[in-house]
Amino acid sequence: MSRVRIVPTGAAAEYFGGSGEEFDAEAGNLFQLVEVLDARAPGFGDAAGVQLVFAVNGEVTEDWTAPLPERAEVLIVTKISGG
Amino acid sequence: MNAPEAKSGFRHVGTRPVRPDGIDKVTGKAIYSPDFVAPGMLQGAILRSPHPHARIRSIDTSKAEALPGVKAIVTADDFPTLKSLMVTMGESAGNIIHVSRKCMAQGKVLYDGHAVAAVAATSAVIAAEALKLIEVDYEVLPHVIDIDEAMQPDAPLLHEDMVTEGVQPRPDKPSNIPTYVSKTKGDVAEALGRAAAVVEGRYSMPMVHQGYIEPHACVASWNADGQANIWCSTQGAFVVRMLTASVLGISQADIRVTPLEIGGGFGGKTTVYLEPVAMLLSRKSGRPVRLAMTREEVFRASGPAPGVQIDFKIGATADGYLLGADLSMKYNVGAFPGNGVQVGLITALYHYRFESFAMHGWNVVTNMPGIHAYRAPCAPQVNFAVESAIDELAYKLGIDPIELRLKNAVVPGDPGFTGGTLGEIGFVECLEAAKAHPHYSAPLGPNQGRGVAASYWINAGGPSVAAVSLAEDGSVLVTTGSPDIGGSRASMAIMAAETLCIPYEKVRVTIADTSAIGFSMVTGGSRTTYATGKAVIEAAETIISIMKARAAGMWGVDVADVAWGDGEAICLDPAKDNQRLPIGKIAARMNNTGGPISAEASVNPHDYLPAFGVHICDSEVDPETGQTTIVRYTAIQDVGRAIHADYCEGQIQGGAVQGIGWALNEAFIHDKAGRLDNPGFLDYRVPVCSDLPMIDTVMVEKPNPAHPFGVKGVGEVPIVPPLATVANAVSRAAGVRIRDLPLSPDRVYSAIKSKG
Amino acid sequence: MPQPGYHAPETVQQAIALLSKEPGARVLAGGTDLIVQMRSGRIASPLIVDLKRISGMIGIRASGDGFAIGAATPCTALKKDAAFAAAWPGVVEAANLIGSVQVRNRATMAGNLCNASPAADSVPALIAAGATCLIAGPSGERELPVEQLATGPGRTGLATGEFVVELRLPARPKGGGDAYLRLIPRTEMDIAVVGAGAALVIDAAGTCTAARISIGAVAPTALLVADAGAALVGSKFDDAALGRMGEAVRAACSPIDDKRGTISYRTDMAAVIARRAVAIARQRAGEAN
Ligand SMILES: Cc1cc2nc3c(=O)[nH]c(=O)nc-3n(C[C@H](O)[C@H](O)[C@H](O)COP(=O)(O)OP(=O)(O)OC[C@H]3O[C@@H](n4cnc5c(N)ncnc54)[C@H](O)[C@@H]3O)c2cc1C
Repeated sequence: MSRVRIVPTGAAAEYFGGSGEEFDAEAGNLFQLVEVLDARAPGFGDAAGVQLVFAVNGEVTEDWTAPLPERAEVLIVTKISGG
Repeated sequence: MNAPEAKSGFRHVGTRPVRPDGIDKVTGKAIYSPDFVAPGMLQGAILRSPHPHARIRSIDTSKAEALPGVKAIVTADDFPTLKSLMVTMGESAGNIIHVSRKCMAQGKVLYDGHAVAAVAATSAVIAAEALKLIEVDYEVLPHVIDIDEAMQPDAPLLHEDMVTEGVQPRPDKPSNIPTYVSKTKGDVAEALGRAAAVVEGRYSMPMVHQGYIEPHACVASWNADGQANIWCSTQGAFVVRMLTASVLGISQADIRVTPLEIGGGFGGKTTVYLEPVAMLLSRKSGRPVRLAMTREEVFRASGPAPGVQIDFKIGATADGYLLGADLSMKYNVGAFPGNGVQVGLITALYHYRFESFAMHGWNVVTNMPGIHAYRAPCAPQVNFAVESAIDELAYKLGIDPIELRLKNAVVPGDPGFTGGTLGEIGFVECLEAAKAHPHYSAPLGPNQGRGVAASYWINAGGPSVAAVSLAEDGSVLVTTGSPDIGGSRASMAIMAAETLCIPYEKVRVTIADTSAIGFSMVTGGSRTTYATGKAVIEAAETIISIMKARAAGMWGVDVADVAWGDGEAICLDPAKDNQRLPIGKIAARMNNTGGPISAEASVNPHDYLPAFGVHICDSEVDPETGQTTIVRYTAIQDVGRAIHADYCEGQIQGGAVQGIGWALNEAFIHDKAGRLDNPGFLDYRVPVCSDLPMIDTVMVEKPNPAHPFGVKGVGEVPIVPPLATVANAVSRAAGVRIRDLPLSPDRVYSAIKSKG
Repeated sequence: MPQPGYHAPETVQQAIALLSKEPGARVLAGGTDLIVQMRSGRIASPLIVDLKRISGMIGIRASGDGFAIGAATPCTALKKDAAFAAAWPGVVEAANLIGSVQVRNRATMAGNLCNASPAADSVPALIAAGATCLIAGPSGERELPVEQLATGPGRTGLATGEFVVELRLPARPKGGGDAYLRLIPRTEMDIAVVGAGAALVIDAAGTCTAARISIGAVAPTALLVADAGAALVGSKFDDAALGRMGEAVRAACSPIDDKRGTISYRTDMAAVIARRAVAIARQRAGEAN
């Protein structure tokens, strides 16, 4: 378990009150974090990975099994498309 | 054109071999989607709304059904009711309900050209005749096209249940604004207060279309046992499979999608408009059904790029350091919520080190077709405003426009938009190359002006699968799931040949259907050479290890004593006297050493890097008519490393040309009734050859350390800078700043006239 | 589903008979307007009468001192006729602004004229050159100045059974020169926002002795602006005369506001383009002296 800082932006902010305020959460990896956040904001789990991506300490992270570093910043951003 | 030939250390990377699909394409043998024929195939046609906004009271298809030769008719009633669900399309997400409603209007039509019914018949003439017999009872509603009008509280509402996301507290009334986004850093008002120079303006541009030569078309065949085939032109067969299955509520494995050759997509072919409709017509008729759009249908009912209205204020110190930017963006996303301003937020300002900024953005729905991806989607629009203002600022401060950009350019280690640090980006290198280019110091003639602009595009990674196998003679087959739009067969062959150290011609590349290879994301986002390329290289490396093991077996030595080089296994065991086994000999014996040699690699890389581009344009404006001539154009870009030099340059030139088209003449024009007034290439004016000079390209190569050959992705960034590059050049030549696109002759003429 | 009938008669009389029998019948020359309009559903015709098999319909021949151009002669063929191209370079250039090479290999000036678009490119050039059209019909032949054929956008004064057989141009007068220019947002494949044709005669001293100025795309039909020509006659193209010519052109304009241009832009440009066309025609006339 690591304590991480959640930074929801854009559409992600909608799930957590809309103001984009940061908060802390505890999870070992991104799978666990998604579960934690889905419990807090039902529906978040469906959007995660489809509409939203995670940047852990600035790096877009697709491997959700990787352990989250202690005190990591987890930025949640809207996926954007290329042409 | 300074592509380095045969770079040291590479045999193939950076060279310019002939593309393997070239002969078929130039001789007309290649099968594009409108060419495809299935036995017993029916011809489909779609009835489209003449109204931009109306409620469908009823649809009577009885007369059409009675027409001999009509085999099936489909309306919204034939589509399953779907639950709201976000799905991944291209690299972004969309609601499956909206995907379905773009295929067929449900309850309401939301734009001129919205599909309301479809027919399949034994001939195209009968199908067209049947459309005339379908009676639709419309309750015509007031429509809205303009961004400002759509944002008014009393504007006609497109979606009665749409509430703005991102606003606190959550609005209690619906509106035409699906999304509000914002991001701030520091205190902009304070920073601008300290500025030695401030520039402020409102910028706008209309909705524009990708204008791919090949219209959307498909053939679908859906059997009674539930299994189906779809042949279509697409940037991603897997996205067609997923969206069609989701819209119809069926299993993905029941649909086999075969991507045919594609005549351009530019992002516009990463979704479905026809395939689910053709599927339903096929199920009803029991026959394969073709649907193909006309050019007019493509313009009226596919996915253009958003128009915008942008207010921008920017200030700098006397020596040119950017202090603050105040940016407010409104993106016209057409009839459905889309990814518009979200991208604006990410691509507007991150190429400079602003001390502070405040960004606010709104997506606005209007009675126009819903937007879809178009080459660096949604970035050129905001870049036009930002890079125009930077140009004004440079002139106001008396600083060279490239110099000003150099003072503020981001460098490796600076923060990127995800909060992490930027890797080995080549922005400064591009600016330096632009400054040093002879174009930048060449003298200008009368009525001429020079403009520059810079931009970046994030690029993309994501999942791809590739398979590599050996034929018995040692020639090599590469199979991917990435449709070839810009020469990727050639690039994949180069990367495989480079890895295996064999001749380019010994490698042949096939684009497989969705049942023949594992999932691959769309060809788009400038990701294919990077991500699918990684899969190809990885599979080729596996082939090398297999071949080394087979050679070891043939020699009876330990595999550790076998090396690979020059397309052959080399025995390191001194007892064997440096023997060699060429790939052909290993292949010939493969069934005596363990069976066929083949390997598949599945990757999902995200260590891509953004691409940067700097463009220079000289324009000449006829002061009496306002007509603009592009006299000279140079596009400089960090390509990471060019795998196939010609196709990198081709991407850069193509992007520049499309951007020049947006700048000069392209625009969706709607009449008072809300109908698209220019649904054809006569009045939707993409540039013609004689409008353009040779687009000179300069490839800066700062390799991506995370790709075996250094690839960064080249296809999208070149469409971003041309808008401001041209506008800056024209504003100089005309002696008056023009902040609205397109720079059509009448607009430039009235600007010249108004300056007096 | 009615499909239009197609006939390719071999004589003018057969063509007249076919056209007289069916009032909705359409003449086909190059088809670059007709087929496009039929495919888009803008027009529906029960009968198509192709002119290209009728002898004499394709080609340019001398007629007295001047030229007779068969109604089915494609625009690119005009360039290849050295005598005609030398006599009326403005007309040849105007016809070869139409569309692309592929379009011009089929498109004809007679079709351009009979399609009666106000923006037709060859028409102002023909008007300035003083061209006439020879019309054949059930009641015989008649000859009409080109400027009198179109009666409005898409409409002509041709009666049922009538069609244009040939265009006739006079010989180039001594000291004569012509030119046509158009303004389009692109450099080709576009429709004129404004077009202007000029045909001048100047004497050895450089004085204008005759001038015909015609404008396109700024009124329901292409116009001969007599006042504009008159403003130049007797002058040596001084600014005052050119200014009066420009004013006469502006006064003749009655354009519409549409996606291709506003009223004020079209009116301003008509004068600019006419002046530029006059400059080229004058230079050609000077070279001819
Ligand atoms: C891609 C494209 C670009 C174009 N660009 C231009 C341009 O730049 N400028 C321009 O002016 N036009 C342009 N056009 C329009 C068209 O090419 C011209 O008007 C051309 O001159 C028409 O000639 P045609 O022989 O093809 O006519 P057709 O299509 O054969 O006929 C046109 C009309 O005239 C009638 N007609 C033809 N011949 C006769 C006759 N002898 N007697 C009576 N009626 C007759 C026909 O029934 C029909 O109604 C363009 C068209 C296309 C498709």
